[in-house]
Amino acid sequence: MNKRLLSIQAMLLIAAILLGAGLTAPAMTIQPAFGKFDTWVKLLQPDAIRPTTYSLLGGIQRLYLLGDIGIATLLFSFSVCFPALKLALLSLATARIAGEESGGWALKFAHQGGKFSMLDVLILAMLVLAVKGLPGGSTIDLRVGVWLFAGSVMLSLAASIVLKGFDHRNL
Amino acid sequence: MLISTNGAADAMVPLDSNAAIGIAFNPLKHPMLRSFFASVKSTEPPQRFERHERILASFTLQSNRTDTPQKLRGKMLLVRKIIPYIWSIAILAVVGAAAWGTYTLVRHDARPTDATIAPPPATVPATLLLGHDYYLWVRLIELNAKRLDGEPWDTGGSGPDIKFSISWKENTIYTSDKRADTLIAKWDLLSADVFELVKTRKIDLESAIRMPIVRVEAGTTVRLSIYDDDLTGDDLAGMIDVHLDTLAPGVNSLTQHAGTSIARLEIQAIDARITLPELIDLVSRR
Repeated sequence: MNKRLLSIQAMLLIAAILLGAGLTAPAMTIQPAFGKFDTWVKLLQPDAIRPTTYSLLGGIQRLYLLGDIGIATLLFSFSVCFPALKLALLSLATARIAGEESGGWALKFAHQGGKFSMLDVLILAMLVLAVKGLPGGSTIDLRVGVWLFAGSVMLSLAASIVLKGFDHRNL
Repeated sequence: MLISTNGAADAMVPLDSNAAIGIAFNPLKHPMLRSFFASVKSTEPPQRFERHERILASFTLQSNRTDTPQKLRGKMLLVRKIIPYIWSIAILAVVGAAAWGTYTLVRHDARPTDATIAPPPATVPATLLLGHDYYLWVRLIELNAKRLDGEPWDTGGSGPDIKFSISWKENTIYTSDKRADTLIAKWDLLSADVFELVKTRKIDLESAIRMPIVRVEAGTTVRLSIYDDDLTGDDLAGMIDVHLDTLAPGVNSLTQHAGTSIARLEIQAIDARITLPELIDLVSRR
């Protein structure tokens, strides 16, 4: 296999590791706050003020368990299935190009679909913004899972662009 | 032995005698394969041809030596088709392995199953503890449709105005508010005096608990008297002696009330040492 294609496969491998880790690593910590009623809530409902940490996959599971099946399915499709499928297709296309064939539908699909890859990060950003607007001073801290996920998306985007150029030169 | 392939001079190659006896077989020198390569060479660029040759050579060594070139070519094409899919499946496997590995490492941090986490079951004794103080919360009283004598509760067909009192050691220790025109009456455990709260901005939680407190001793009973509150005098709907040492912590449903108009009665015994958060939680789950 061409050295450059090999490096693309290596990028995809790293992106796969980052994606897997990003899905289950802690992604956000919600720290509820009730403003001047903090003391009362601590006294009466200590559970309500305890910080809660979720992973991306855990957050989706929680949504599902709480009955938000539609949004859970949407997030699962675009945050879990889609990025994993995209990496698989990019890898398939790389191996095809290494075999002196065209990347074909796999590369086209992965390249075009890259636009949807950051959906999960976008939702988290919106969540952070929304929580900042709530009274009481509740906060959401983004944690390592988000950066791992974003890193995976960026790597897969880069691999897709490089591979696309490579495919064009080969044809 | 010489074999001609397509009549080309450079294609005249000696057949390896080892091939005939199957030792150290070199597929590249097999006459049938040479003819196959020659046909491929004429249609594909040299780079691609060399690649085919390499793949075929490595593949032939592992295959049945009796395979025909057509069969070998089919197998080679199959391998070429499969390899990219193996790559893609491997990537998916890496995603899964990384996810599982990370989850195993940080499962105590990320809490994906928060929604299903139930509080650990508290050890609840089967009966009330002797010598302990308990709040007796009469949660619900249901009366029969008619009085014991078969007459309606109130003139005009309206329901009874239910209230009750509790006596312990021959002292009335609690009298409830009435619940008007109903056959099923419920009472809350806490009741705050809003006027007092606004005036003083303080609330005395002990006084907000609107149920009597009793101490459980062996053989102790409390008398629960239930009335239909009327302007002309209260009608007794029933009187029950509740044996405290037979009650269990939590809600007790008492259904056998012969000789009374009581259809259903729910009493909850709450340990007086209950913490404030537990008390609030209890009230919120009324």
